[in-house]
Amino acid sequence: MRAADLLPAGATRRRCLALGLGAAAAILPAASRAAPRRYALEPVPVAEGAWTIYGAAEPITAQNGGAIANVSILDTREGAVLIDAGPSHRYGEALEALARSLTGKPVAHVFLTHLHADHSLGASAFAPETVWAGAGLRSDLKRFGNDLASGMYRVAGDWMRGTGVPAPAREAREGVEEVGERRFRLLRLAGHTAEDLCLFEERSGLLFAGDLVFLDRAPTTPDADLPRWRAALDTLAGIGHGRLVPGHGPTEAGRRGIDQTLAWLDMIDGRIASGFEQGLDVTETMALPLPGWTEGVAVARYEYARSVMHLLPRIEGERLPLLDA
Amino acid sequence: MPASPLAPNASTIRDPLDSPLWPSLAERHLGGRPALFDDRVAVMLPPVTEDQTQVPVTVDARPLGAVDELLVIADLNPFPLTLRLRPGAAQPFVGLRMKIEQGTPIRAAARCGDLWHVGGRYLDAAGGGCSVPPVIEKTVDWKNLGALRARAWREEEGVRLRLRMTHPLDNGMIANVPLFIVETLRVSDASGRLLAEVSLSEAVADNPTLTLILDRTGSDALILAARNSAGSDFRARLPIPAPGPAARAGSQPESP
Ligand SMILES: [Zn+2]
Repeated sequence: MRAADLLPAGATRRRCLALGLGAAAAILPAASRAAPRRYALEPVPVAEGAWTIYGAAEPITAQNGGAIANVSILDTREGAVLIDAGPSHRYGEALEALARSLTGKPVAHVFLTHLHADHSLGASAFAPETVWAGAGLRSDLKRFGNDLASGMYRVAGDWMRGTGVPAPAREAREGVEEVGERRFRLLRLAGHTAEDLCLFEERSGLLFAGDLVFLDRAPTTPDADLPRWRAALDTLAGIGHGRLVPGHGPTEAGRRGIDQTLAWLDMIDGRIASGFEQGLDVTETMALPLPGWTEGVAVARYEYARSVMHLLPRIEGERLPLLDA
Repeated sequence: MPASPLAPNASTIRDPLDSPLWPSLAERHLGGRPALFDDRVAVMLPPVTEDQTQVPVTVDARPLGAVDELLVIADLNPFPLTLRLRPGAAQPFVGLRMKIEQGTPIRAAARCGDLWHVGGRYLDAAGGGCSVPPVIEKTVDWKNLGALRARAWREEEGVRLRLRMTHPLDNGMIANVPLFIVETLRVSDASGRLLAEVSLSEAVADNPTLTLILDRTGSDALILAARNSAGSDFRARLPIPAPGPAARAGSQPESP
């Protein structure tokens, strides 16, 4: 299973049910098509000449249009540099206008961190020659991009109008890319997905960790490989960054995001393994209590339930003893 | 709050899920016997459908006591009757993974003598206006067809059995893919006494993964016997371990 990263809110589902729309839930996005959709992007300075637009700490819904991930803009002499591009063509257009007004220059480069729709599909609004992605992401976009977009059209409806599958023309390789006065150290890591690109901008000390780091918002695991994810977090912890911009959640100095993401991965790993050892099935494992500290983490129970669906079947396929015929 | 077996207001004849298809489904699958909606028949579903080809469902009708058979029915599936459990010497409990075509009520019907007790909940489809469907590439592990993985736990109320069989369940409605499913699974004790029989339909997910709770037994092993729609039999013996320390989940304090 791949590529369906962030799903809509329990609140939305409950509303569908409460309205008795059950099987006719598709009426909701259709009805909302009447109102024109505009993303109100609010840039928050994270360093000199650098801004982050914070995503809502929610699942993707027809209300938020998929604007749930963090996207960053950096000013350089050569033009604006974007880290991720948001969920849709319309978001990408708003982002380009915002970058122009903040920096007075056009967008020179867009770096995509990973496959998930809330980060990548907005690149559909930029010329392919300005868009960078790792080799794995470039091929995954070819392979899964269409399904990714169609899933988003179904959930976010009209917000997605005009969104195609991005085809980044530039390959992001491990190493340093100098853009004007800035030096971006590119790290090709993995674990949240098959390929996660992180960028450390040496001049500002900003570390753009993509979805390898979530802070105060529960991590998602549809494409996760937990051992590789932990190893990637170790690598990030060793960089010596100043402030860290996570894929979801606030920017902070220090390593709280790295530590919280590690603690979350250990927590779900432990719960799910314990459910397996007790003989619990998926819905029973979902009902296990979560530790108190997760109360401060948005959508914790929802993402834990999704992770049980992602990870317990894998454990069953490997660890239930194979019987002799 | 668990409903008392005696609470009369826990039962009703009006379909709480208001599904227009239910009367005809009841007529077709409940053999002309009367049915009551009864919240002692619990259907546990995930908070969101992550993968329409592998929806985890757990049915628990243990508050009813002994049950003659237990059905799982999805109103809006092309094959509504998903699974039938005959718990000869087993609890009215089953965990399974199933496929859904669209958002649908998921029912469980438990027969006690001549009366059906019906519970259920509505399940949204992935992408039905409420979620993003995943991208699935179906692969069939032909080399290990019929391989059985299983484990048993001796618990206070009986023997918990979890098993997973490597086998596709193809409904025969896709061009060039004939009907090919696991039709039955029989669980017996070491002496050959039948404890539970499960009939599966096309709506059960590929690589059927089931959880059952068998009544307490002195037997030291279970015999699992599956038959598919091509008439192939698959058998395996599963030792039942001695009761272990009942380690129940995570009460130790944790911090980030
Ligand atoms: Zn992601």
